[in-house]
Amino acid sequence: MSDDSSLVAARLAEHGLTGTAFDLAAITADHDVRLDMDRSLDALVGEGDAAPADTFDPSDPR
Amino acid sequence: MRSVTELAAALRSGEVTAVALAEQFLAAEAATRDTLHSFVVVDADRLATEAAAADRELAEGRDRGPLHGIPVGIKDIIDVAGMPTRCGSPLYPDTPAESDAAVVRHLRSAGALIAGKTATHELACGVVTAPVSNPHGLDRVPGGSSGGSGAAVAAGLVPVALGSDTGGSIRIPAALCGVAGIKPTYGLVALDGVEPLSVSLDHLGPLGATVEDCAHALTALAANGTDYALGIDGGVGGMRLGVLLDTPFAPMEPDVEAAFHLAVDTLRSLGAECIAITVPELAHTLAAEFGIIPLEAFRHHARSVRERPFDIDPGIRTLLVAGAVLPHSVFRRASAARVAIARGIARAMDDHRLDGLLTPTLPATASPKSSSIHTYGDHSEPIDASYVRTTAPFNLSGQPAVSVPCGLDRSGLPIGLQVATRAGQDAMALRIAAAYAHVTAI
Repeated sequence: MSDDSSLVAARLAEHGLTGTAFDLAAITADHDVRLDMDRSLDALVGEGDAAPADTFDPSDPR
Repeated sequence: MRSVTELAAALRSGEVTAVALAEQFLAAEAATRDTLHSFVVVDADRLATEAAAADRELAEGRDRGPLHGIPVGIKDIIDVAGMPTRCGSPLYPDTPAESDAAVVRHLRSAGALIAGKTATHELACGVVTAPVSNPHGLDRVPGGSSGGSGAAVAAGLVPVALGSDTGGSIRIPAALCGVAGIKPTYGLVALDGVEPLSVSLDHLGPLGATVEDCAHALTALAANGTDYALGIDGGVGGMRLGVLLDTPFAPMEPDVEAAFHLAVDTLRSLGAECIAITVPELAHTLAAEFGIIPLEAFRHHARSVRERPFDIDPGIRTLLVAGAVLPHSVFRRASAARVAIARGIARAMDDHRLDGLLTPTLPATASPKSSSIHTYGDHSEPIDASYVRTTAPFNLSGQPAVSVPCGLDRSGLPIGLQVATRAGQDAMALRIAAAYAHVTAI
């Protein structure tokens, strides 16, 4: 993972999100906050990539 | 307007008619339109026609149940045939929906009158619902995203209104407006014909003047043959209830904390054993919630973000864009955290043999409309994080959670008590909330 604005710009372009509506500095700042939030999950789910939880059924508390 | 239970009796005794209730609603809505802004669509002619039909059916002995002839508000992300679904956003056309959402069909089958569409925070993604006002203070937010429904019920325009809840959007306005509301078990209420925000977290349910009203509405909405009002007066004697006060429930405003402790004492006095517990995983609630929403929401709104970005509120646009920019691993890790949180709650409930959980619904009462930050001593946080951190745990876990009024702060603003139970035990959550409400009702 990277909080580099060029990476953010590349991802925006991949999705066709270009133009003045997409303020790269603001989006990068928000992105960094969200990555920090994600890193805070290390204590709960471990560092790095976690296995997908595709089978989770929220109506089943187990 | 009185509660469903009272109105149902009055309709059957001949004290009132559905036509009269429809007229009362229309007059009250018109009188509050420029102050509360709780409804965004009302069709007076159609409501009058439906009310007359409801009266005819009752006169002919065809009784559809407690909601028969009673006006109900529908959050404007839910399709009602013949009315537009605008989702509080210029992205959506004024073209009327062609058919009713499943829940609207269920309400009609139960005899309810569709009063109109209630205001929603834009795209059901926020906790303010401008320009709607809180009936307890017109300069205060009603909460969101089902703010129009909360304001409409609190002002007595309708006894029940539908809301959706992805991170607390039923319980937040219920608590801030001083009414009851239930986010049912995930999947209990069908979402067909409802505009999604985050599909794995979205729930639909009622806000009501009383807990019983929510139970009657849930019976109609779930349409599964279960009467959620049955046994609601069973009390809490012998129950074991876990009390959650650590993060993310702390910090909270002192008046909220005092009211919550008083509520716990009240439930103790009714025979419940209330036990302080901790679920450390819950400290990660916001990271899990906001790791899931952007990706799921962007998946649904990608085309709008690309083609009409200026028709989306800048804050919501940023959240949606995050769904495009964040690596997919963020979503996977948040989903794994969600599983850990749900299992942590379940483990605590098993270990302590709990029937339910008690928390403050929200750490704060209704904010001034001009405020976007909540401050608790030395700690400040954005209003959306502040209002969502105490309700989102049960969106992540899928458990049913009720908000019931539990007093007022020193400014006269409502405080909510949150009651959660295990998945599938919606009736138990309503029963606990009703037991509390019965002894505290003024």
